[in-house]
Amino acid sequence: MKFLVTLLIALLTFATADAAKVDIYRDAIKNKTFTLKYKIYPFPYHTTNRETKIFINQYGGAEKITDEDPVQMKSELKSTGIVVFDKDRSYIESVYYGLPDGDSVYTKDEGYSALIKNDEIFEFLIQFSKGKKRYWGITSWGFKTSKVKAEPIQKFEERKKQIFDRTDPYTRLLLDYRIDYDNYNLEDALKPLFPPENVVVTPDNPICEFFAEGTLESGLTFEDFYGEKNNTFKKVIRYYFDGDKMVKIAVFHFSNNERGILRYKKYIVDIEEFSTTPDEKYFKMPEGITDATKRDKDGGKK
Amino acid sequence: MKKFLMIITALFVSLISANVFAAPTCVMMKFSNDTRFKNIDAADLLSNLVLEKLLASGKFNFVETRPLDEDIEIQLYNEKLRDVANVENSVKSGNNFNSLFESESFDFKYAQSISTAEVGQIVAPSIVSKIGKEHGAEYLIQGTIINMGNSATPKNQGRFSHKSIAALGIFAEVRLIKASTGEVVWLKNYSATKQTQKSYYILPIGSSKLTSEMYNKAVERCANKIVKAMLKDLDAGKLFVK
Repeated sequence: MKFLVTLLIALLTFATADAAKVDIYRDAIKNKTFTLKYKIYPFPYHTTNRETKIFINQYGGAEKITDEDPVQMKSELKSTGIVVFDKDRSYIESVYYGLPDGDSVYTKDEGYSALIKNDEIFEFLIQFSKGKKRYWGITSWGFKTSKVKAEPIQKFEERKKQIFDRTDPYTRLLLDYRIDYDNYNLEDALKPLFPPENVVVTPDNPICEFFAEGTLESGLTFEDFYGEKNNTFKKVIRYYFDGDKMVKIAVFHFSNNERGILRYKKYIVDIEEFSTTPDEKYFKMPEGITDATKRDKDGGKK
Repeated sequence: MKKFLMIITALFVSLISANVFAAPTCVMMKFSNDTRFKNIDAADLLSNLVLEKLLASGKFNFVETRPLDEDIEIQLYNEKLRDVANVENSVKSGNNFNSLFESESFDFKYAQSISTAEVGQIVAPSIVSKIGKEHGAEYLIQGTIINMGNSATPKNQGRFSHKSIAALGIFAEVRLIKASTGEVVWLKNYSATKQTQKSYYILPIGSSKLTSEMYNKAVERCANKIVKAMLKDLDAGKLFVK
């Protein structure tokens, strides 16, 4: 009898051992209570300047992006970001380094962030002057201001849906979940940790499931996830842990296009902090910004 | 007097040749063209110009007198196919993905391509050292044309006069790669433009049309800048530093 109980416990332990460490973070995302600070280092990928297609950006504007080709390679931009959730309050920040500065050969570092609280959203532009980070509010006309006005979240979401529903069904996932990381690579890396009901499957984005785990010589442990779609689009994600702490994510996904040319993308997400405690300081207005929303006496937006 | 001149000439020649042969052996790779004007063979023109000018300086020890056609970018791309094979093998065998994530492929010490390689990064030693050995070269000079473009800027100056400026520009990067290790030891980028302008002072003067002459001039200016910087760093001992 004792043997059977021991065996049962061993079997249960074995069954629950799968991807146990990512579950801490899966729960944090599901419960919407976490602080995540990260840096994304993409590896260069193949592309060409010969063919272009139109991409609709987040503000509804049209941008030209390049198509892939095996001959040339381009670097994707390095980026950093912060995501803080405390139930219905959230702060999401993404900064990109080396953005093209107009038509010139020079580049700039720029980003934006959004603070959501009390069913309102504040959007900020982030720029750098002599290496110093500076936040700006964005008016409805797109101008910079130090006095920012809130927009009702419902209106904001409708606007986003209008923009993205036509072009990118993947984004619905984030809107349904009221998470808009605004960093595609981060979403991609964290997707296996999202609640399944929030995951919208797109043709080029397979669902990744736990595949293997192990320990490296450095002492770090890892958990591998793998997914494929129609035997064409394949994706591998490795989560690295120092103890229980997630320290890094490595992502590789690839497919062959109709011409048999390999298209792939790979990058590393360095996790500076991924804790289950929301950092309260991010729910306040950034430095140099004041809330200019006109509200009635009860605090509601006029 | 004649004998004296001969001795001086011999000394001069031996000094120059000693200087050249003291320099490490190099080959010039044909520049890669990352622009959408790939059909305009600026890469060929620029690599030939840079090679000619460096040869003329007498300070470089080139083992080939023409740029090599080997396309390292394509060879690197073929190397990347190994990542895919590694994933597929792991999936078949049920093993973890160590062969992918713990390999050079996911190590920033190794450059993923020539055009994105930074100083200190290593460009596929197997490919680079093979080229080096085949040609007996210790260093590879590899350039990339990052951007080419034109612009037209009308400038209003007053009621009776204004001018319009048209420009052609080229932006290129050059790397020096140690063949034995694949390490990028030197990297600089340069841009060069050629402008033309049309002025209106009651009557139009000049032209703001882009011409092939402007294109050639812009490429030559870029080549001059590259060569000038390479010679400067060579003299300062900053070129073949490792």
